[in-house]
Amino acid sequence: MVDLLTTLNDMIGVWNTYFWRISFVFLIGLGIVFTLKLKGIQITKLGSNAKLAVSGVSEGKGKKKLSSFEAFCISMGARIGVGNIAGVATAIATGGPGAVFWMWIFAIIGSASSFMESVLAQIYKEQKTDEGYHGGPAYYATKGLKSRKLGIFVAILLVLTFGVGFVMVQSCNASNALCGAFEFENNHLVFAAIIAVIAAALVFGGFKIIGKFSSTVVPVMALLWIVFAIVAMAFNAGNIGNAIASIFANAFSIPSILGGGIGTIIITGLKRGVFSNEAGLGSIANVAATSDIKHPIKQGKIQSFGVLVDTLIVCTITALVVLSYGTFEDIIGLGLKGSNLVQAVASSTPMGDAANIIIAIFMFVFAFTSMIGYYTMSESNARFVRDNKITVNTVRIAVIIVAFAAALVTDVTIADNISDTFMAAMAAVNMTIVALLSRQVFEAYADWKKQKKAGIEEPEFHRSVLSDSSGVTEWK
Amino acid sequence: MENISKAIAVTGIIAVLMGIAMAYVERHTDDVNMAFIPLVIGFAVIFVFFYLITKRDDDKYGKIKE
Repeated sequence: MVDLLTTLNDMIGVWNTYFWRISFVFLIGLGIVFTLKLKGIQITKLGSNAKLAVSGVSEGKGKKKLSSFEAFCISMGARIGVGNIAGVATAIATGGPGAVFWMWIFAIIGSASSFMESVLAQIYKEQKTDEGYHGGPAYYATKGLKSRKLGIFVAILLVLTFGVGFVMVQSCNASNALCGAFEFENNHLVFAAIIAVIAAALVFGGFKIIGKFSSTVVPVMALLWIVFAIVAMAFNAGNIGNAIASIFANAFSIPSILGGGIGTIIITGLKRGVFSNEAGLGSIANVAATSDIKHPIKQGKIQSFGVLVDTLIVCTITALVVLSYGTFEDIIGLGLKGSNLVQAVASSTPMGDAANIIIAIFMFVFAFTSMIGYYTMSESNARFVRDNKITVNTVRIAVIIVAFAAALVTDVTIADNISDTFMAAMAAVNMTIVALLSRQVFEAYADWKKQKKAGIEEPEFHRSVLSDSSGVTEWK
Repeated sequence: MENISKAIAVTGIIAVLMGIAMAYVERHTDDVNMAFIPLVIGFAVIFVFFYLITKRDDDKYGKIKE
């Protein structure tokens, strides 16, 4: 049985490499094209994008639709996950400090893709029986490209990837984080039950409850992580200058202790960057569609800002915690990767073993909020295939069962590899669809700029600005 | 299917093949740097792919007025 699982895992590993390299060509190639075409909107309009992200705090009160801020927080909940702690440490351990530099570069490129997919998700969103908005790749493929078959294919891929695979992986991560920190008899069963009960309360509460939960928990936890990381760095304050310098010094040359060439650094940075910020994968577009706003460009700008927050701030801070430990040889000498490396580094400070428990709690919360974010994506896509209570409740119950069962096990490597391969396939399909519908985004952006130029503080979108508005149903 | 749509499909397929070539090089050689050759060619193909999409849309609806 073990041999069979190992063989299966190896086989999936091969497929995983091929699917991800195809995705890289589309993700980076089209990311560069979109960046050039949008004149670097993610950097040149950084200030206004940031302002928009927090300006929607008071929107959407008392409605079943989400405010732009709530949608931003759900998407950040999905983005800021285990990848921001374990993923960054693994990137450094396998690609050297220079991998962080390439994570930044690919985040900047990817945020243009995130802008494109989020705007399309808004243009082609749909109001469903729960009175909330739903959208994403399945919706814009069907309504924009007029292909229901392609839409259903993408929707099923998304439900399987996120509703089953990623919920499984994140639930396992959340449970393992707690079990590692709090050891007692039957701890896996107790934590599995807690995870299932909280997940049930949230998923049956609907998107509005999830939005409230994420908009409360995510910003607080992200800020607390930053504070914790700064405290951990402060104990090694003398090494921070060297840590930053090592990122740039090793951007084009890998440390001799690791071996390999520049290719290893770039590919490692690229992989970890994409896994962390999810730009262009089609996942965040599902959340971007849920907000009730006046112009699709607003959500595009907010989500492109989210990619930068995830990688340039949260990932960088984790990287500095690890790199300020000492020389790169000292870090490699620990012989650790992932969250274990971060825990070892943090617990070497005067915080001691308390750091282990604190990081375990962060891992649990980040994994849990990611899981809830992934659930919202699978519900949107289940509603796309069939919008009725039976379908939605089936998905909800399945997600809770999957979350409970996965929390009982310690290793979900195969599930992780399968979902990861599906996600790579989805990224290539999503970016192709986005490229084919890119004109809609550029027309909407031209309209936004025109209204801004005319002095309109909050531009309003009308579908008449699009050359082909035949699939647009929620905009007048 | 009109010619330009066929050309878009062909460039898309070539881009996929470049991704496959990148993975193949990565898995079967010790020099990961070599994998960048198909990746860079893939980017060039993606530029053509996007140019053709833009051209098809511009021919159909006219250029976007900024």
